[in-house]
Amino acid sequence: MAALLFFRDVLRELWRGPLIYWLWIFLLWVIIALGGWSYIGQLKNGLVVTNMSNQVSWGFYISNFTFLVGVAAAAVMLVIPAYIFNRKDIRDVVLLGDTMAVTAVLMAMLFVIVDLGRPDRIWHMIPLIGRFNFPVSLLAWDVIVLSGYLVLNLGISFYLLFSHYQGRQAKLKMYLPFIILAIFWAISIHTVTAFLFSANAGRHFWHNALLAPRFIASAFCSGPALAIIILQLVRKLAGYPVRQSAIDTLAVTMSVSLQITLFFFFAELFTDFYFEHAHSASARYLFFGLHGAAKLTPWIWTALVLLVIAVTILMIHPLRHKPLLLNIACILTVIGVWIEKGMGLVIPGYIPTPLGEIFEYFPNATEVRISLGIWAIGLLTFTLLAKAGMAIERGKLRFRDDIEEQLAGMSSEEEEDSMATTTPLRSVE
Amino acid sequence: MLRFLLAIVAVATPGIPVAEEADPDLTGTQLYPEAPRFVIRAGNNKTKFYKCSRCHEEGDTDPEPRRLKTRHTREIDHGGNRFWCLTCHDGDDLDFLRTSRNEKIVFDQAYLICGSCHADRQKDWYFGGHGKRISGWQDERIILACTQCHDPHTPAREPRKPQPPPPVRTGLERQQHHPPATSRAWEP
Amino acid sequence: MKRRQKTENMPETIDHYRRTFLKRLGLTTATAVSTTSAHGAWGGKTLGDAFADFFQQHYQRMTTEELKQTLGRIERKAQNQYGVNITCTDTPPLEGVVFGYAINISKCKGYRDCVEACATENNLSADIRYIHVLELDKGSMNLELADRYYEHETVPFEGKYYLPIQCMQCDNPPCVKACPVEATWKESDGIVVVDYDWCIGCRYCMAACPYSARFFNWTRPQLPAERINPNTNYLGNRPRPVGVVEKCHFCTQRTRKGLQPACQEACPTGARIFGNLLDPNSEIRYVLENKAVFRLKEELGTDPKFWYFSDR
Repeated sequence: MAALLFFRDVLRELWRGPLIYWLWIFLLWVIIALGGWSYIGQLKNGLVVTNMSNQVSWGFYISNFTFLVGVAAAAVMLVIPAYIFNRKDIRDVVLLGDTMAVTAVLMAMLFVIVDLGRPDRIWHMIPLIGRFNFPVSLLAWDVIVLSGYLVLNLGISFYLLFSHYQGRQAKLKMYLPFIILAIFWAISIHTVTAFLFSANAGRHFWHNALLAPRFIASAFCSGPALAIIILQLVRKLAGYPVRQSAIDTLAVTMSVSLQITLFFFFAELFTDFYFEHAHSASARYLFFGLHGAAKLTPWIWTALVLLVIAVTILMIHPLRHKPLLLNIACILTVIGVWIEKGMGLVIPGYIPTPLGEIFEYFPNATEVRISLGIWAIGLLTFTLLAKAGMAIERGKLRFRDDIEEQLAGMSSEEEEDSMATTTPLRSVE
Repeated sequence: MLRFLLAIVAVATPGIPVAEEADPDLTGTQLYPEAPRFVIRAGNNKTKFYKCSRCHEEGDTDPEPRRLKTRHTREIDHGGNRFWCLTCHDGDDLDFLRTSRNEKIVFDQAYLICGSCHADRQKDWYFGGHGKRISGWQDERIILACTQCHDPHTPAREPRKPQPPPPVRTGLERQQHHPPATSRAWEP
Repeated sequence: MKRRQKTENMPETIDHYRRTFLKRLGLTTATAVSTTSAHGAWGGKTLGDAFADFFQQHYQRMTTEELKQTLGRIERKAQNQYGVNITCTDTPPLEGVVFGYAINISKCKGYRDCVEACATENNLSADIRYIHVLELDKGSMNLELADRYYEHETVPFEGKYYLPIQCMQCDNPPCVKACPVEATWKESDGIVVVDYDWCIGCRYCMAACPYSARFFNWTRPQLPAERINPNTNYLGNRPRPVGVVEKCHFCTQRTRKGLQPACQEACPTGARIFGNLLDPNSEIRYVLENKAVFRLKEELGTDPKFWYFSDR
């Protein structure tokens, strides 16, 4: 019963908001509709509507997927200080981090689905009914860890929010084991995604042991960067209380991770270029172009420059504490990692092909539209989940004990007014 | 009568079976007894001017090596000017060939002559490492004889036009990326 | 066919429950509907066929009866899509056979006759060719400098040699490990096959293959009706749907009936040697035991069953 009312109240909360909220929702739906229309075209005609080829058989969709799994994994950067180090200021915002993780995983799964040639055959992956090549196939692992992560985060968030909705404290004993599990699971989703690439012995650009560490390091820059931006946005737009110390901690995390990321980056460059050999061909294509093909070189160098600027800001204490510079660093980090881990990783693995052919790839309008549609779905999901979650956390949504009176026919408007005045703000646990 | 004799010979002689007639004076055919059994798809006897004895009488031939040019002799581009017609053709009976061991063989057994110089290739051919098999991989092994691929007068294959290059994916264009010309260590 | 009978005789296995479940979910409806709707909906298919298609099981799990129905559906689909009457059979692997292939690179002149013969035999879409012939400079095997789009007046071109490449039917295939739904596997005769009706089109196998030997149907195969080879088999050259991966399968529709693969038959120079690796008297064994052979990317540990050798 409480659950039903929970959903009813959540839906009510989502249905009210200022003009800017509705404009935002409308804009997102326009983008989603455009993406959806393009996707229908893709379903009808096949993936020929993209620019992918037999030579470069993974492209923009998987690039975005890789980046988003990193963002999802980085929620752990909020969970660890919140629960392991018992940082109250971060505990207050950890649900937003969870929401970000859920949204990112959802988007990642959507990117995989739009990349499939036969999405109507997804049921072939269900164990027992279909055939699931676990534990041999890394893709099978990825399906499990991503689904599990989604369920875990949704479950923990729902438990916390539902408890708060009922005016109760969540029982730490109940959900802390799942929190611990989620911490390890978060690392595992991005490690498995890295292994997806590094397992391929025939693709020398990916086949190195450093790929998984690089993924984790860059995820722990891009995730906190997005989190910092989101936290400042909710603080400004929704008036949600976010302590500056939480943001400072995230910024320090980002700083360290970005330094490690750049160190790994240079280690990769050295190994590829000190003694150039056949296995370095993909790196040469990415950074300098190969035999006249150089579509990605401006992108990767831009990414590198952006990341260096970002790390400079983040490493210098007084600069990191200036909000404008911090935000610039965050935006630059997100863009830089998105390029470096997205197109900058996936595409060079295919160029040159294992038979030495150079066939370039760059996303076309259809792929961009569908990708934007998925990002819009993610932003929409985040907006709705965060709005509901924040409303519950602030005490705006509460489960009413006098359920019989409600059933007896009190009007919903009267109910809302009474709720607004009687329920106190939630105290920090 | 001749057919009957030949039939007996074909069964009795431990040689390579030929789909058509076999030479009763066959020797030295069991070069590689351990080679897997095979059958040649014969047909050399169906050359345009066979039988040669219709025009060339026995004992008519001038044994002096020279360059001949009549309406059906070919330019010989084989052996680098070391060969002439009677290197392989039997001057006494032009319906047959003659091996380097002076054995008289039919045209379908020309491989015995080829093998006098191309022994490695002949061994490969016996065992299947060279040549063209025209039956299924599981069936009785029927292969082509040397002269069915290589014209013994001008054995070198003429270059020919290749089939068109492979396509790229529908909707995409071929991309031209030119690797540099190979430079070897000894080139400047 | 022993395997199939075994499954049918074990009613208590998970197989049985799964089959029952799926049957109840789909096929009953399909049977009921198909008896009433004779005409095509769903892009030319009957509703019954469409249902049965959707719920079609993995090749290795189908009973003989299910397989027969599947083959019938494939034949009907070809009739609907191309207006051609094809036969589609099941060709299981032969006992005591493991196929091997060798190419004599001193004899390959780069004609590409094999490429076209394969396209015709295997109903390849206009933009897919299972065989690539790489043209390389003599003196080096640097694949980065290879050209597979060569166009010359005549071949062989001066100073070049040719390497035909197709699926190597690896004994340790990375593609089989990669596939999340086991749509590709190695059969007992060594051929790595694809169940085109099971593949979900994720293309991970294409990332895993070190020989660029796998191809994706980005669009519905462009197959002119007059060029269709009507003698097809399920795991081989039957017309494929959009959105699935395919590759060379050593012509299972031919080789499992004792015929040569189309590429070997087409080669005018006899550069291709094919046969049963388990037969000590086979031509392929002679080549492997007497010639200096090599395989591509041997260091990757894929154990390909495709060798190269030279007479000189």
